[in-house]
Order: sequence, then structure tokens, then C-alpha cells
Amino acid sequence: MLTNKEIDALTNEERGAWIDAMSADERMILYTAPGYLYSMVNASIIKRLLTQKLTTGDQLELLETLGKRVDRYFTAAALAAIEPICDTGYQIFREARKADKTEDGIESMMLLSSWEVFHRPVVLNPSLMLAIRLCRRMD
Amino acid sequence: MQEAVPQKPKRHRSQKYPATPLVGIIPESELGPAMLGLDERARRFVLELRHGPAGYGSEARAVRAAGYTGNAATLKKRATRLIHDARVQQALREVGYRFIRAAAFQSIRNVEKIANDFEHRDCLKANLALLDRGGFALETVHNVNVTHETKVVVATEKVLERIRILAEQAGIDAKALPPTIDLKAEEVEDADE
Repeated sequence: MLTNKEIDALTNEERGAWIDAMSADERMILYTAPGYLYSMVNASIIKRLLTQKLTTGDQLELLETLGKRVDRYFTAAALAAIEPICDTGYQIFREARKADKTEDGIESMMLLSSWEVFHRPVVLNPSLMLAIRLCRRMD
Repeated sequence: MQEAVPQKPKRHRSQKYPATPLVGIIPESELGPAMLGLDERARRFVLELRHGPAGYGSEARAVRAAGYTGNAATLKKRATRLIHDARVQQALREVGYRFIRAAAFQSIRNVEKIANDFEHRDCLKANLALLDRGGFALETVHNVNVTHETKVVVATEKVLERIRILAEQAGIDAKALPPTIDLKAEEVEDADE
């Protein structure tokens, strides 16, 4: 598994060879926009939060946030396929949030959707891969 | 043999102002703390400056009028020393404030005069100035709306239905959602009653 730094250091030829050697799933992840990858991780985190005891207001707010993620690419079917994130995945998310310098969370988004980091939540939560497949209408 | 260069005639400036004192007897009861801290001649110097003419030569005139003696150069030095003395400066400030306050009434009279002269080009300005200072200043209203919004969602049937729909869309079984932890308001009887 290449790290983000190693990927940045690749030449065009090396990068081409690396992509050619990828599996179909890996290529799907690579060709999905980072914003969508982050939305998928975020949806799994929100689903985890919804398993806890909340006020009606919080519950409604979280569900509204989930609903707003859906668009023509990230379909309702893909959202429905995502399972709540596990403890380790949630810990990865919390660690990534520490990189944020501002409240908009752009640093953590870039980190979580990067090649090196996104693989771990996918391994831990295979429903994310299923959602990517559904988004690309290949499943 | 070189010819002696004729010396340039020395310029003698005529005294600009007469050194006639303008200040009479100074009653101590009318003096402020800064003036009381000065000797008689310094007090006179301050008051001569206050009442006398302004501009070039005024300080030398005030020194002379205050009772200091000597030639022109000595008096000039004396004037400079007095003007730069911290105690004298404080006394000048003390007297100056009183003068400004007293002169303000004259200014009011002048503005009033202009305000009543309809032909004067500053008639309107003077009238506005008098209105402002007379308590009729233009009132401006600033509306600042501060809204403190505390969103409290009550678990009504409509809200619960919305939760059910959203949960279904997100692939969550609404029935499997944990029970909510809303607070319930209860009427409490006053202990005094």
C-alpha cells in the first residue's frame, strides 16, 4: 500500500503503472471525488451516532443532515447501503479531526478521503465499498 | 592696503507693544492652585499674556509689564525661561480654560447674531448649531435586532413522522432507533402556597 507521500513522488509513468495494477474496486475508489468519499464516511459516522440515545431534536437534525447528502451521484440507495462505522473507524475519524485548523474541517476531509487513509474505513466497513459501487452503478 | 569693510548697521527693532501693565491688583481668592504656586511677578506675567496682545513681541511685553527689568536681551531670555517653566505652563493652562469658558458666551452671542441675519451665508449653519446645542439635535434611530434562538423540537406526531421518513430514506429502521431522551415539563406547586 502506497502512502500519500509516495504517491505524490511518483512519475507519470510510475503512476500509470500503479493504476494499471489496481483491482476494479481500488480503481473505483481512486476515481471517486474526495468530497463523495468523505460524505460516505460521514454518513457512516452519523448512522453510528443515531444508534445512541438522543433528543428528538438531535435525532431529527442528524437525519436531515443525512438526507442532504443525497444527490444524483450519491444516491439514496448508496446511502441506505452504508452501515454505522465501527469503533476503530470512529477512532480514525476522531484522529483525523485533530488535523483541522478551522471549523469547516477541510483538513480532516482531505485526510480521510486520501488514498492512504480511506482504505482503512473501507476495510473496516465494507458497506462503504458497496456504496461506491452503487454510486458508479456497477453493482 | 586693504580697505576696511564697513560694518553692517545693526538692526534695531522697534518695540512692538507698549509695556503698560494691563493687570491691576490680583486678588488671591480668584486664583487657582497653579497660579497660587507662583510668585507675584510670574503671576503677573501669566495674566499679562492672557490679557495682552498675541503674536511676535507679546512675551517680551508681558515680561516687562510683569515688572521684570533689564535690557532687551535679558528680558527675552527671562520670557523664554518663564514660558518653558512647568509651573508657569500649568498656570497658563489654568487661566486659559477659564478664558475659553468665559469666551464661549461671546461665541454664543456671535452665533446667535449670524443665526438672526437671514442674509448671512452661514445663517442656516448657525441655526443648526444652535439647535444641536440647545437640545434639538437630529435624532438617529439604530434598530439592532438580537435574536436568541433556542431550537426546541417537541416530539409531536408530525416530527416523529418526519423522522420515520428520513430514517427510511437513509436505510435505517425507524423502529430500531433508540428511544429519545427528551425532558418533560411538569407543573410544580409553589412551596409558599
